[in-house]
Amino acid sequence: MHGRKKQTQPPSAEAVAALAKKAANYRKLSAIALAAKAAKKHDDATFAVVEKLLTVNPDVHTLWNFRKEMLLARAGDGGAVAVGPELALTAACLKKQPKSYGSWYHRLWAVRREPARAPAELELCAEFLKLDERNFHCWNYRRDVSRLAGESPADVLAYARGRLDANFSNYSAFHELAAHLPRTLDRETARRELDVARQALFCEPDDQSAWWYHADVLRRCEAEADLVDAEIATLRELRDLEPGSKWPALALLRLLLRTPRAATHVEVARLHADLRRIDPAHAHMYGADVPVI
Amino acid sequence: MAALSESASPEAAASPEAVFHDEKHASYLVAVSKNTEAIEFVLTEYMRMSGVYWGLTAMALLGRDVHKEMDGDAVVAWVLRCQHPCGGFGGGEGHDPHLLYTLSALQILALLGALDKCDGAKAAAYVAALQQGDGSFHGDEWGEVDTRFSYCALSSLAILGELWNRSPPLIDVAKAVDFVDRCRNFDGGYGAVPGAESHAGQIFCCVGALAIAKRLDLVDGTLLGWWLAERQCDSGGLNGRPEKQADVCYSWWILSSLTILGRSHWIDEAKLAAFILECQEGDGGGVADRPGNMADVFHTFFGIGGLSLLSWFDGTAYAGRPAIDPVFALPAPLVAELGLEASVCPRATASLLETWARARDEAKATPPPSP
Repeated sequence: MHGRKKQTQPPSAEAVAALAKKAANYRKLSAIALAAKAAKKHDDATFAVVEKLLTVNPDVHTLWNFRKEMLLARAGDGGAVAVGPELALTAACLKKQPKSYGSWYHRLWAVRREPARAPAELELCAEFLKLDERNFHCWNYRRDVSRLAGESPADVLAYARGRLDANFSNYSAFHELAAHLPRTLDRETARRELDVARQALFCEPDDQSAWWYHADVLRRCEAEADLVDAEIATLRELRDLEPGSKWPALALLRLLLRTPRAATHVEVARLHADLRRIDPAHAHMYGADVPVI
Repeated sequence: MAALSESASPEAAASPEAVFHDEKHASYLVAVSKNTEAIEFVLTEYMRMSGVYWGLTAMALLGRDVHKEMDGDAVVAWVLRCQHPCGGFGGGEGHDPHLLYTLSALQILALLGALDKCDGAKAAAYVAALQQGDGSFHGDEWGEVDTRFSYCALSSLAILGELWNRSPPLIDVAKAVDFVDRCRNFDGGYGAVPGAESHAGQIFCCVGALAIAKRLDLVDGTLLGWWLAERQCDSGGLNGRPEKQADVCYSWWILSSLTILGRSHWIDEAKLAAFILECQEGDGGGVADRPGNMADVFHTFFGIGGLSLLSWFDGTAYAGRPAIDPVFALPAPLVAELGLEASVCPRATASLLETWARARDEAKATPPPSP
């Protein structure tokens, strides 16, 4: 129900009739499927009706449940469910509706029954995340199959870094990097991760994706005084380049407030005033008073 | 991206859409509930329970007599037909029970004063049996885990009056809290499972669950409040994650979370109200996800809910309508009548910058979450 444009013209009589026919047909098949479910009918005709409905409307959890019931019943005690057809069906459903909870979960249910398939699933995830690099359903699924495939943390990080190389405006990938950071960073790691963020920040300072990662890395290396001082210098430089940009000012102010030895009241007051001017929507968040250092 | 060039608070009256289409929204909500032949209706049959909850609550927030205008008796009878022998409710007749629809069903029954008509003990047992050893909840017997289900479970049990004061307790609340806490991320937000990216809808569920469990002390209100406030886009609308488009539904997910955290004033509330008003369908009634799109019952509820949280009605001819409760997503008078309890933070008096300046020593003492 997202992103449907309002019609400027009333739909034609043919279009209305076609939709009514589609609705009536769907309703008829749905009634057949639900009646069969109640009667525990697991024959080929029922299986086909349910599959047809799922390809039309992959969000119906009851039909995915029914399909699982039929697969388990048809496999019998100790028999194995054939996983291949489940992967084919869910792939088709996900192409149609990449945010379908039911399809992703059915796929995971199937792959868990045959974990040897997990490495190939990483390829499917790569394909889906090329089409929509922020699809959180797919990122979540990737974490599950990554565990099943026995990927190391280094492999997971390499994948996320690869996504950032393709496009640094990818908060989902920054989230993955942050989720793997230790509580406190040694100097070398902190320097490397600040570099990752900085590349994005200098290219597009108004894109907030990397700023959150930047703030997180700094929080984890506050004890490294020379690193913090260098970062303050870098942010002052970026601010001079982008005086109308909010995020460099906010990041610099945050760092100064946490590092009072490097701050002066004059600079804090100017940053505070600039933020309220550049970004008046958040005036209450910044507060009316200049924060005391 | 925050506003770079626009003025802070556009005069609501200056916009041509500043009119609230009160009557049209009520007519729309009644009409969509009756247009059972429409393709949209047929394709969403499996989640009708949530659709009916959105429609009824929106009508209640419009100050309407829900029972009379939405055919309350028929709705109650239908909800009861959707309860399974296991105690859980399906999204529609013939559909499998699920925590999502069990909560919607209980919310509907509460709205219609008919909670005592369902088998509450069985419903509570159904919910409790879905809790896992790690504190998480399965959505149903097929085993999907998601923090949305943690919220559904806690809210359902609270509505049933079965969350507290039971000996032995039906669920392990401390473990449920632990699981939600394990889903906290570097940005202060929460995802569907541990390790999953923060998302505004998921944040509402987690903050709401912690509010019901009275464990908001586990939330980093400064960091999460900041992250939520940065969801406001140039349009005034809110997005659900960084660098995504604004959408009316986040008026609810984010504003309710900010309200629970006492920080709704960290965004430009007037600008958000103007955005919601722009998303109204002036002709047929209802609210869409963004301006120029088609209305649906989901966004109509979240749009009206957002305006209610903003206290927008107070200054208008529509004053005196029930406010919405930010935790239970039901009219506040009903929440009081049912005796539902949750923690809500008082309005934060310190700004983000003041908190940063003050908290530098504490911040060092409490490091961010570790993987």
